[in-house]
Amino acid sequence: MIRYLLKQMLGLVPLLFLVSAAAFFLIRLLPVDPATAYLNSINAPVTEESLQLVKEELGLEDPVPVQYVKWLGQVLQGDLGNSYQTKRPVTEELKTDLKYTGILALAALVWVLALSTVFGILSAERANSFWDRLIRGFTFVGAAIPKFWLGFLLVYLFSLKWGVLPVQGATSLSCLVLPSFTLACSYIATYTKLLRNSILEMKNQPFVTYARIRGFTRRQAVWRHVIPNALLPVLTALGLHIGGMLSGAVIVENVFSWPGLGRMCVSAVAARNYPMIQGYILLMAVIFVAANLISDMACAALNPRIRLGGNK
Amino acid sequence: MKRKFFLLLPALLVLICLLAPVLAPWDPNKADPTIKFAKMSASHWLGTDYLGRDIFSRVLWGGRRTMGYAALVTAASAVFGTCLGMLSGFTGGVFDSVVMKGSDILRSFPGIVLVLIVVSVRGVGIGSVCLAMLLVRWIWYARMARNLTRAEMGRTAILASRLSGSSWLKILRRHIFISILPEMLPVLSLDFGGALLAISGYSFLGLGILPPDAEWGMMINDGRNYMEHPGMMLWPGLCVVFIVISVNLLGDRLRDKLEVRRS
Repeated sequence: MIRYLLKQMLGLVPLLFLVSAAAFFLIRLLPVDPATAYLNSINAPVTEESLQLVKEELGLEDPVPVQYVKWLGQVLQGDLGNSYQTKRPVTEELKTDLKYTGILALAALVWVLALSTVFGILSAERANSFWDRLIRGFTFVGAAIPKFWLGFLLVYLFSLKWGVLPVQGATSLSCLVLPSFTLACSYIATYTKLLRNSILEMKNQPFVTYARIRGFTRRQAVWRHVIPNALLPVLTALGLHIGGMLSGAVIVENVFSWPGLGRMCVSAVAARNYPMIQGYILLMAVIFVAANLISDMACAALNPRIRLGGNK
Repeated sequence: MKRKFFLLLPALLVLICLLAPVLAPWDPNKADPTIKFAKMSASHWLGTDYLGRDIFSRVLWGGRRTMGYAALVTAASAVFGTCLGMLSGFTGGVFDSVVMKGSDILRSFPGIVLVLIVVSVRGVGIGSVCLAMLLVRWIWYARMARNLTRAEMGRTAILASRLSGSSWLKILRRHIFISILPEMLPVLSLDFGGALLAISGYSFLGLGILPPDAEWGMMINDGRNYMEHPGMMLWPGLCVVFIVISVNLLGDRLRDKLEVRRS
């Protein structure tokens, strides 16, 4: 198990390295030179002297690889510089934003897990019934609906028409309902479909027949053998969709003015706030790698075939 | 019959959008403050928006842009990914394992991060967004083409072609490409839907197509401050959903047909 985990981790280290290099060179690739950009950002006059001063202060005179190593050292100590917009340290800004994005993502995950298992099992158990048709219709529409449009549709119905839920903000639990569902919707559709197909496929496997022969009722066989096995592909897919969910959160946060990472980074792009953009990119890469590792571990724990690498 | 209908209608919408320069009754960017938020009427079929621009004309022009760029990104990533995947599967060895390892790591990387990197360097615009999308979208094609190519390589026909002295390029083109093409088509159709959602999403965030040009995602963003006039948001959104559902259905049908043919 530990060996498997280490192997997975080794594969992801180059990614972290690449992303950090991309974040570093981001500022070097800009059309304006970094020293001028820095002076502009703090509203200081751009003169020969001040340019020279800033170059020395930011270490821009060193060769690029030396700069990169120095910068990486600072990053590892949690120093990402100050945000141009608020003048506060980037790490602190990211911490507050991360909390909100985390809440949003967790709530969305709850929606996804709860609804897609219920829908998937119901739809597969009563294949071709009225409910199955309804759920399959939902999976088609749910996967095709853009998040930003769904968000506004929900706001229009629940907030403006019926007035049951708040339009935006993040002050109470009821504010969380619409954004998290909006983020979850397309995943609910995907996993319901996946689970339905995987249960239907499992049902004809020999181990189910064997369970029936051993004297289990049909229901017992389904709950004990079919569903745990059918959940495996869902878990694997969840690991693959983490990246998409992080992108989706950016849109949802902008729709509902949710004070998370996504809204912050779009405003940072608009304001050319490079330290914040750098911080966001690095943080996303770290979250992505960590989430991938967790999903790998969960799959390996549930499925010995992966852990032992013997199913090829 | 019912199914044919479901494919005919989106095809019609695509055609109308392509012909926007001819069919659109009004200039999509012409603002007229005297008729802000007009209701649906004979002259403005879907009403007008907050600047008095004709929504119907903007939906047509917007569709032309949204679908055009989505098609461009899909086609470019499909061509690049398929070529790389076929080469990777054909040559094998170190090249193959490097391509596969790289794509394995990158395939689920959040697209928004790449978009942010490219947009920060090149500036906001549809070119940056398309470029950033290309950077990740080829991966699925490469992986699929590579696996299909590996499967094809074992066929006697390939061996026979090799023995009779065909060059590797000819084998790839004449034998492998032709046999994997039908398998790639459903993916192409599904991926187009994904690209369309992504492009309109980035434009919604203000990173892609810039105002005043119409684009479906951006039109929805325009409507957000005028929720009491839902028409501004309703029509472009409906178009996106309609097109994406249609291409998903098309992809599923192509896949089913393939399954029938295989068995």
